[in-house]
Amino acid sequence: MLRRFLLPFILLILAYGFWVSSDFKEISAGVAIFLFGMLSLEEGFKAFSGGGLEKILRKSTDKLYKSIGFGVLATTVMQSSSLVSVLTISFLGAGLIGLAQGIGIVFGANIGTTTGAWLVAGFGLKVNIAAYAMPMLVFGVILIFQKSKSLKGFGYILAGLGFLFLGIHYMKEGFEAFKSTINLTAFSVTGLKGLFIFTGIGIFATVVMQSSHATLVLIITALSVGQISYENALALAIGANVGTTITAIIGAMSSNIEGKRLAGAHLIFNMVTGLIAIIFIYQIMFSVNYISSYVGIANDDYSLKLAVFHTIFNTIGVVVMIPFIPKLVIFLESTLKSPKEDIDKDIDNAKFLNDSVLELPSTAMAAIKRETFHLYENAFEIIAHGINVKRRNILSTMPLDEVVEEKFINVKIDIDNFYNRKIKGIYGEIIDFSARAQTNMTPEEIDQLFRLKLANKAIVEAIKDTKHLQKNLVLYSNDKNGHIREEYRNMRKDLVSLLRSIDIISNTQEEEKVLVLLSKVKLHAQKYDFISNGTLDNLIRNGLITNKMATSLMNDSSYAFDISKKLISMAEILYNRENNDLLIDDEDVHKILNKKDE
Amino acid sequence: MSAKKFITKVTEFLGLEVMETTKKKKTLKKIIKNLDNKKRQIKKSLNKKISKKRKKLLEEEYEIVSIHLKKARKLLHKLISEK
Repeated sequence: MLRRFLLPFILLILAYGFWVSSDFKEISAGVAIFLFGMLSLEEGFKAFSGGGLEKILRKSTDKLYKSIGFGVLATTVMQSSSLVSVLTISFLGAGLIGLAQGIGIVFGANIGTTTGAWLVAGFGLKVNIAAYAMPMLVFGVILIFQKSKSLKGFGYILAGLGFLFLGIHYMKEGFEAFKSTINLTAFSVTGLKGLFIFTGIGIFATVVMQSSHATLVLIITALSVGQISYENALALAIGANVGTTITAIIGAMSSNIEGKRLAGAHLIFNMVTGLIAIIFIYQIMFSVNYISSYVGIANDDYSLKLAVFHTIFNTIGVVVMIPFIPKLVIFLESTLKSPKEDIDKDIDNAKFLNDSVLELPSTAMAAIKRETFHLYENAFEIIAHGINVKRRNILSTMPLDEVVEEKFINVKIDIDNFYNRKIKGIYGEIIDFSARAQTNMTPEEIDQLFRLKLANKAIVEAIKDTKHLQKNLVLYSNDKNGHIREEYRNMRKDLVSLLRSIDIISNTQEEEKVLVLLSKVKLHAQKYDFISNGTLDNLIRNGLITNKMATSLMNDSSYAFDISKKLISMAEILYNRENNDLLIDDEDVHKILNKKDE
Repeated sequence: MSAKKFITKVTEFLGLEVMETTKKKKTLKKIIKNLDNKKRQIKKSLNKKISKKRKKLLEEEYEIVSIHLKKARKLLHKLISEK
């Protein structure tokens, strides 16, 4: 609603400005070129986010100080806090980092973004950067037309920097020319009134330009040619910091819950920081003067002093807010809840699949893998209850005989109901998400994704087999005939052993241990081949079971075998990391079995 | 020179692919070392006086470890000869 009226209003104001002043036109063009440069820079860095950037982000955010450091460094290099925020939201959505780490990155990004002011004030205004802009643009555009993703990305970065330089140049030129016609300092307001008015103007300018970085560059260039007073420039900088959160909130409205929570943290942080800066403005100004004279900044170099001010008040904000991060996390998680959580608590949905990660292949892959683990967790519950054992007993060290003895329930459970509530939705979302994610993936990544899809399919099929197995399992587990009861008991025991082994595999770090465990479960699955191992013949020949029982046992052993086979293939994909070539195959299994028989 | 060729040349120049193979070889060597230790341990246990059931389990594990070792050595040999 606000946007619908705001856009025509801004366009009208701009058109009027262009009509009355050609200098205003030059300044505005400078801002537009600068913003375009930022977009181009973001596009360039996105091209490199296919692996390296995500891996670095994942590894460097496990501790709070690391995530703050990463935020500082990444924003300094990329000169875009919004790109860092987008990546952070993607990682939050994929469950690769927690909200506390995400908040750490955003805090760090707030410090990192201050380097922009230093670069512009210290370098951009003192050197004729437009001279560098032209070749950068030419080389950049040539590279953009290349087919290679890396060259294209590099081209976007180069062109982006070129546009940034050119934008700064036009803003500087425009303000200098403007100075000869109108003296904007005549509109300066002093005291507390000026502080609030210019903070408001800073907020408005940032909301309009959707970038605090651009606002700050505009303030610095205007300050450098004396078009605004130093005091008002400080208020504008505070306003830019607060204004950027409004941009983030508008962006987060269409984002997922993680994006909303992060935007909430950003808003609280910048509001608190802004408030501190307004309350302690004179103390901070005193510190700026002290630090400036200490590091050798001239007393009248207001552009660099503004950069010092910007850095100080953002750093103060981070220092003040760090102790409150855990409380902030609790507050945001309890206030902003996922709409899915409220709809139906009985139906389980995908936890890690967010559209925000679709453009980042390696993050999307990690999200799908995490979701597959989630699917298996639910499948584990269904299979355990389907074979009538308690989950916690499987995961304990309780002897297998005792695990099967202590039943979960004495009646059949409704596996269809479980399936519809805990599997169907997640599985559907995984398939849909995978199909959309693979459009941005390399052939190797698509191959990896295909294997993950096979793991998901195996999980779902194992549940369906459990449903078939459950029918006779409940019936014959309570039968008068001790022989059939014993066979079904053994079947349950073997499945419990398999589920326990998979749990051990999932918690094992040593690769050779995973390999040996996987081979063992593969070998033991052959126990279900009741026809070839002679179990069935023996029972029938000696009249120990009826024909009907024999048929059931034959069918159900085949279901149990299928469940094992599927769960093992799922475990091979999910837990065997990169050692597929070393796994034992069917030929090896038969070789070992034959050796045993000898 | 096409962009793809350029990238291939740069990767070759920087030795990036070789680095990947080296990493794989390092992992394989570590697996072989650990499997070798395990095989030796199992053999030692088999020579001791143990129950029939335990012996059967250990023999099975011995077979599995031997197969993994054979496969790992073959793969390592292949990687070395490719170089």
